[in-house]
Amino acid sequence: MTRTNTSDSLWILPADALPAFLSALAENGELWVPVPVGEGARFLPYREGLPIDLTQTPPAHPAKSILFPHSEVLFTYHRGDDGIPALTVPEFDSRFLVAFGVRSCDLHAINALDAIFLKRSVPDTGYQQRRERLRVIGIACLSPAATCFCDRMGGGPFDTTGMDVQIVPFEESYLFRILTEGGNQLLNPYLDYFQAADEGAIRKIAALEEGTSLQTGQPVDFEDLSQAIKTHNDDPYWEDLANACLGCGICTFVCPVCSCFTLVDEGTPRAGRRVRAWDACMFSTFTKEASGHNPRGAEVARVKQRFFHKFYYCIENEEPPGCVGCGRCVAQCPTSIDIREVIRHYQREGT
Amino acid sequence: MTDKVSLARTLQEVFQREGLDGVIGYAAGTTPLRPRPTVVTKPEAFDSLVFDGFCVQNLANYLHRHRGKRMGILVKGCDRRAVRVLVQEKQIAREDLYLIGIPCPGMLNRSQLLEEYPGLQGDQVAEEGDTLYLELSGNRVTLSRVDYLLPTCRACRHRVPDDVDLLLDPLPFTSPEADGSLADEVKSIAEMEGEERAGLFREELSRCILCYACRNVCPFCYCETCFTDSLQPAWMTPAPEPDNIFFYHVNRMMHMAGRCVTCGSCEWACPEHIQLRLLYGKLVADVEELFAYEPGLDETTPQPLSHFSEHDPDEHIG
Repeated sequence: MTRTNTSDSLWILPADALPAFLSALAENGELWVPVPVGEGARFLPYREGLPIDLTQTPPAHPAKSILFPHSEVLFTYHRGDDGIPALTVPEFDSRFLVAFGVRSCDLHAINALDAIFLKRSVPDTGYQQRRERLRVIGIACLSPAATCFCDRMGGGPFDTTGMDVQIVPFEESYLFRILTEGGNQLLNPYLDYFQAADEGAIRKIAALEEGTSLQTGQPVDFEDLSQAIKTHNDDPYWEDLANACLGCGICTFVCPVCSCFTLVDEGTPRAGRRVRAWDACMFSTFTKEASGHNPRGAEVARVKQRFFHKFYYCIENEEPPGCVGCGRCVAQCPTSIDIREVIRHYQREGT
Repeated sequence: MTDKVSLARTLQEVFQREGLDGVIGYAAGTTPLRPRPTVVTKPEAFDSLVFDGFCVQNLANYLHRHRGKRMGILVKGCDRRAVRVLVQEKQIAREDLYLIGIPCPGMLNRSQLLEEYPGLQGDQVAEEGDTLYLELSGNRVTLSRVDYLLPTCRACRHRVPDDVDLLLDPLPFTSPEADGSLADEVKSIAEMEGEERAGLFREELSRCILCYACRNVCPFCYCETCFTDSLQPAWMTPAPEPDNIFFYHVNRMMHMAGRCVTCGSCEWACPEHIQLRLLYGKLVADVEELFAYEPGLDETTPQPLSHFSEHDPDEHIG
């Protein structure tokens, strides 16, 4: 956890100057912000006048959609009158891509997504080009939700992992803490909107940080957890969860780490497109084979898969765990299936 | 609400006496105001069962997973009607089931309570008759239950499950009369200009993430392959784009004509709080108006849309 100190480059932005600053920033790149939609916030491209919600902790929908959209056109095809098919690949923006108001949990999740999309044999083109352009203006969490447990999963309300700049809401303004050279370059052209932070402000923010604690338990020992889960393949506990699970896609869609997708072709032999869209291992069709056989045909096999992947396969493959403690799946599961309970169930006593 | 101890004792007794394979009910969840459906299969596990004003979810949905077994199931009015539709559709056999009826006081609106009382926990809520007590850090708030009913429950005309094997004691509440609030909502939407109405649904459905919670929570969505998942032909794709979303909801709705019992589970399960009751309320009202039919009230009257009679009106054929 980074503590506020005077050697950081600290700037204050009055809350009423935020829209002007964001509009200016958006002129030079792609900017994503948390926007209230219905009762939950989701990350959307910024445009002037769009309401922004920096209070929802965390936003109902994760920031993964910035790098890995719910659906994405991979290419379109068209067969001309000469009968020769032509393929068009979407052009990528080359300007920076700023994710604004992202929280620690989602940034730990991006670290896990990097392992999946960049570090395996072939990097994913779309993810990679967005990731390389990404600059993060993260936000500290002053009021973690009752379902938050990032403190057990390597993060924390004031954790700055993955951030170029961290903002801390404070009175009628925001403190901007520049953390990297990238953050410095990003904010430098816009410093006219800011005031340098004085000693008084710095002290107040340090007090805010001291006063914000999330203590939901000891950090999880993933080696232990992975072994415990591995050796409980036939535990009746999985049946208990399966008896309630609806097999819907809520938990995986709101998960900042879940990254399974499907590819679909739309169109006619003459013209069409290939689309990549999120899929969910909770769907009964996820593993259904062309033969009709389904290796995870039973609800219990699918329920188990979610936790086995997150806490056993990831660890076995030396990748980051598949859960960052954002608590979204817990908060949004209609049948109250709770990943915290799964962790508790398989944690050794005293850990 | 229902005394936990007597609920456990009664159901355990039924389980043993009837030689059931399991009893489908609700257990406490870990998140506020959200019970977790459960199947109790051991006599010593009945203590886990609960019933309160948040047991919205229609349990008939779980019967598909236990076909051929002899199951006990806790039914409110809407669960009972759903069971009857499933029997009518030959998905389950009535003789396999032992129905434990709960006269339903109407279920409570979790979102409304959490919005008005952020951070509210389950153990801070007590229900007593028509009154709802919230114990908020030393401060007791008294609310009228009827002000917090779900819109679908407010309009429910069949709260007491009929023709059950055991009807639990009526709860100490005065069941409010069904009101016309849902009918009024539906009517006001039906009276809108086409473009205004389309705009309303475009706006509501724009939040849909195609998670299919509404489909998966529905007792009547039991097709082995849903049209959403069909690959040949591929009617739609999983991309959450307006065409796919609209196609999904309209088609699912069409499949519900003469079957939907307005239990409200779909709207309740939706993570985006899309007001699905407005679509289904209209459907149910149309079926009632055109066919004088309410689903799930008796097993012998055939469902209007899955039945052909020589006497069906055919003026529209011309």
